[in-house]
Amino acid sequence: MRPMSDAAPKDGPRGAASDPAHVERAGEERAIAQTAGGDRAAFRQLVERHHRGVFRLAYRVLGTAADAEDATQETFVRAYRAIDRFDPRWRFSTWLYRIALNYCRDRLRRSAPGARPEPPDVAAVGGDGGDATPEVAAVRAERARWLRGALDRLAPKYRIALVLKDVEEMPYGEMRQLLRLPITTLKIRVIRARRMLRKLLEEMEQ
Amino acid sequence: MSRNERRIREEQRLDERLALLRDAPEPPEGLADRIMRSVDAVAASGAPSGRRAVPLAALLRSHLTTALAGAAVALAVVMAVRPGAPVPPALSVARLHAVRLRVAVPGARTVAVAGDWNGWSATASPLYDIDGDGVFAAELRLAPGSYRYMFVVDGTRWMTDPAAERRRGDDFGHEDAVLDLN
Repeated sequence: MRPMSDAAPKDGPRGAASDPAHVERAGEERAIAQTAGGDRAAFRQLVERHHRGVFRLAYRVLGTAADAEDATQETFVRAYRAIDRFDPRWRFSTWLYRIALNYCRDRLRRSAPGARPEPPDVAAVGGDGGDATPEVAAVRAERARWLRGALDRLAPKYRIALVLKDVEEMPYGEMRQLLRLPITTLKIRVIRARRMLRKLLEEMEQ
Repeated sequence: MSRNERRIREEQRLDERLALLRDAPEPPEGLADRIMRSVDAVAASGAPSGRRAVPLAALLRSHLTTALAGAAVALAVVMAVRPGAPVPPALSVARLHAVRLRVAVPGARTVAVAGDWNGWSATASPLYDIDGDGVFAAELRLAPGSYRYMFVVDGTRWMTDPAAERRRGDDFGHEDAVLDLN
């Protein structure tokens, strides 16, 4: 673990000490170092800051709030156990997301694909619409559920690549860091995942 | 509409559909508290904590000091109440050894260690692959003694620790790894 210091920043542009992002990151580094020394109150700061992001990612990959909650809890427990192995060259959030994705991948591998859902009955409420009426929200939720059903049928490696790229809108550079795969491999995965998903949706619509 | 235009339209339609999955609920209320309760339980159980060698050593020293101080007080009380009574045998305080286990099992979903100390449970002592590189690790605290153990891969496959310095055959045609802690 790199020693942390309250002194002037070690790197970064001039004036970085007053940059809010830099100050936030320095505070985070300090909290990580304190956690490694056994300070659980410091770890709580990290939990408060990052649990929403981890939960959202897990929800998008796993598809249910209950599974996402399990994934979030397990991610932070694993992070706590391994905090002194955290490499400060990484962003802490990226490290957490990697732990979360490993958990999600294992969980997906253990679970069987879900049942094939029925296509949404959009005509009954007049199509997409633009206003956020309860009816439109219901259609949106129903469509998301149907789409989720199709996504659940993809192999975990394709599902994760697709969620990171097209749902999380993550740049390939960050995906490479997170999944430790070459960008070419990731692009191929995303293209294949999109092709498979499109085919599945066509089949489900028939 | 040309084939290319149709393809572009299909891709756009898929993008619109995938955008629906960006809706994600807020985490349930109290999730941070529940996470911290799990973390507190892990910390209280003395579960594996990576390479935290210095705090672990400090903890052991602290417990040892407390135990020895308590023993000294108890001994003083006994001597005060019964002057001239024979001195009891030296009190022994078990020292725990921090044992780090690591094994590379690429492609494994879970790895646990089963051994004499946990009743050969295939689930009680999991190893963790934090960074997904196929290397699983855990740190245990064990009292001095000799222990046999094996790794359990994916809950069913039993595997001898390839890094074990000593092995001994078991009754099932396998070899247990042997850990000697003095």
